Amino acid sequence: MPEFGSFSLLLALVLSGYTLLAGGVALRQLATGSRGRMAPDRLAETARRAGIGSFFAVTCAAFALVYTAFANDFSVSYILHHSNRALPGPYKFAALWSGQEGSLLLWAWLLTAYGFVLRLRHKVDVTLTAYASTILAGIQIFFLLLLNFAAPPFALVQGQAPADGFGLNPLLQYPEMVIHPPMLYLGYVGFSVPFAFALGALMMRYPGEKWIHITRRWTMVTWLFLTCGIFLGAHWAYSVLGWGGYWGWDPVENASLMPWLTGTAFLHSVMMQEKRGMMKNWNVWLIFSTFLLCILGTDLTRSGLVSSVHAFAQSSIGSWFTAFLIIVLSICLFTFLRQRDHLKSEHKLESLVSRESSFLFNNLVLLAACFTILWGTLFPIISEYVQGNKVTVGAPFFNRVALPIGLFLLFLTGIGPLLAWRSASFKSIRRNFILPSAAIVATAIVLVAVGLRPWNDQATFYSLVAFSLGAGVVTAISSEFLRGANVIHKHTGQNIFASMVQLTRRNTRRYGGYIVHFGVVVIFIGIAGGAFNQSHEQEMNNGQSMTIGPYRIVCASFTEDSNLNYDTEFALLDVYRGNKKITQLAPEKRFYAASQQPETRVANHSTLAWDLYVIYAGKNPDSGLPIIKVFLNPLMAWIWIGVIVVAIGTLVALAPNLSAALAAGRTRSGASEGVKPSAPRLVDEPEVAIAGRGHD
Amino acid sequence: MKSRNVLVRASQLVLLCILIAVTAGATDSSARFYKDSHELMCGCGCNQLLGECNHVGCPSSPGMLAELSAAIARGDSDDAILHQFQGEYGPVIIASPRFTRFNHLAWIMPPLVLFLGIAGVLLLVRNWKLHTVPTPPEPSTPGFAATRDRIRRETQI
Repeated sequence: MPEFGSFSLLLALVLSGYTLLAGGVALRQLATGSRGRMAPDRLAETARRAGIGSFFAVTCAAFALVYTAFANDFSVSYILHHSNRALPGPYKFAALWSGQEGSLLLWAWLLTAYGFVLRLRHKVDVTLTAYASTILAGIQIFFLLLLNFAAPPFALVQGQAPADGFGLNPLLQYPEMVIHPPMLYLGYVGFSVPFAFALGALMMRYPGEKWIHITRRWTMVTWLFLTCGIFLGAHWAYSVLGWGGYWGWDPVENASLMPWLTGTAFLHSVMMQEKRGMMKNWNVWLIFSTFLLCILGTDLTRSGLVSSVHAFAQSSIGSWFTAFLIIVLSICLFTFLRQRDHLKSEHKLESLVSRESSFLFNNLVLLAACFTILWGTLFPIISEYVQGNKVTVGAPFFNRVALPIGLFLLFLTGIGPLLAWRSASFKSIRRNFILPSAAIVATAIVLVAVGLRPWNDQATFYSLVAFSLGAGVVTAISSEFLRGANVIHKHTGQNIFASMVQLTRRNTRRYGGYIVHFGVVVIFIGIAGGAFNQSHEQEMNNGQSMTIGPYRIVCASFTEDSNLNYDTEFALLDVYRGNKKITQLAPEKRFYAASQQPETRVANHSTLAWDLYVIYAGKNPDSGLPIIKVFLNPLMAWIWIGVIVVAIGTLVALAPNLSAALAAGRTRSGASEGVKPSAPRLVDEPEVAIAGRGHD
Repeated sequence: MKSRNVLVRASQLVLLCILIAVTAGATDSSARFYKDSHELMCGCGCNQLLGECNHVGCPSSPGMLAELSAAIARGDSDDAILHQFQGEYGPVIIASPRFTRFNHLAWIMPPLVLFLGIAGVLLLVRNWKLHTVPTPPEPSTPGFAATRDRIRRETQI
């Protein structure tokens, strides 16, 4: 099987090479009108098919690696270091991405899978897809070169193969780890597609904004994957690392956040190009930057340039990524400089108080946040170069600098959608802003009245701002929904909830976007709750108790257990609220036999109000009693609920509008039959016509 | 003129409140212990904040926490404590760059970039506005104004 895997990777490299070469020649012939021995369209078709073939070849390699893990073939070095016989099946599968070589294989597989879908759907626009396919083939070649020469996943161990493997990193033996890396990689890799389309469109001086329409869904799906991947990682850190937090501003975490920020900026500013033909240069560079940041993040963390708790990600392939980064940046710069006259704006910003300018400011703040994170991540290297000594740039720096920027962004989340395109009149501003502003002020007053003291410390101040702004944004979003739903209600007699659903279906992109914004508010509320965290640590004998917030925790027993994979120590803790027992928690400490490493398993009782988060910190060597650390983390569940709302909003925004679906239905059933639309016409629709430019 | 003065006074008051809220800190020793332990890194190389290091049998954090506790009990200032730890463990032990020479740049750059960006956008818009030829009004369509008024009425909450 290792030989089969290696051969598949080599075949994939050859096929990708052919896709790049033949695709490049065909496109060159098409552009110049020259002709070779084969017609350019036929040559391009062979390139497309070779690209599709590369997907099957990499799939075979990925299958070979997973098969090798399940077959316990420890003659393969990667399997020896990332698996063992006692490892449960799902984690053997997860071994595919738990190490350097495997994760690169996963990256290559996802890249070719995206390429496969793109090449299958080439009829959307044959020439543009051919450009994108050729560019994707170039990216594929880089990863396949790494897999074939720098980090081969099928390398064999020297001499006799050991009887058992060294096991999977215990931190990765957690259910979320089976889905977090693929989600994150789907996000990282997915940005290659809009990048390839943007670069292709620029190379061929593609007329109009069709490339944006083609890539809109790609970008949104990719963004959703990255969002889910980031938060799954945060949830994993919260559940496994056992320090009571979920985000430590580690370089690997930062690496995932940077492309997310620029991707989010792109999703917003691209609307200006669609609606008003503006920001073309900006959009092209946003998507270039997003892709480059994906590569830079990988470079930073794998090269060992910056130290990270994700030490398993470090290796010697950083220089490959640096070289690739320089090549891609050079190609982007060269193409941009050659074709920049193609990117002239059709309109200009007419007013500072308009939807366009709110998008511009939103982009600015997102990019400032991205710069802050990049700057903070790179500053230790810069400091070492300039001062001769490394400094640490950790969580306190990011919390102080990035939090105000985040709150400013929350503020823009609320006001942006309330502004009209082109220019908002003072009257409309007053009408749209009076309720949200009142909600902000009222929330702040109520919170201070119930005992929040923002002058006590910085965290409380920020949380007060977050709660108040959140209330304002929710009011703004709700009033937008209610205003539209009210119109439908008046015309159809449907109840207000059904009217809201109808409204959303009529403009999924706009109202899906509002749902995403609502989700962001919910996430901010969850984060703001962190200002009121409490913790307590105590040695606990049987029957002893401790109190935190409204909970009393009684130690029922503490014991040990073991299985083939690990030994475990755990405590059974009864949790009471008043005199009523509400649950039993069992925090544990595991010690994995194969890797000889310990791991914490946090026990968490989560409610909407707070999480009771319990850690078994180990035994006191003197007394032999377990040390139990308890955190009471307010509003924590809202972070995860917010992510679910964001995901739902994105899915709604991806769904076609009711009118588009009806039009498609009419086309299918035959327009000649004169079928009339069943949905009532909205008075909202003429407004679109008046504005002349949709609603997002 | 009078209203402008009131506005200036009000903004000064708001700024002052923000400044107090941001700079005011709790001064009791447990709060100081929490704050300072989150300004320092654990010395074992785990890359976690000292106050959050949760390794069983960590060779550094218990000693460092005891040292911190003793310094607070002695009445040392936060600055003196951080300085003492920096001298003992090197500059990497401080969790964020201190306000010294080149390190100022770490703190200045992010807000500077944001403010420069905002200034750039304002200048750009001003420039565009100065060079924009006003677009002629759209030809009036029968019933256009009436439809717009109806929409406004119906979409008003």
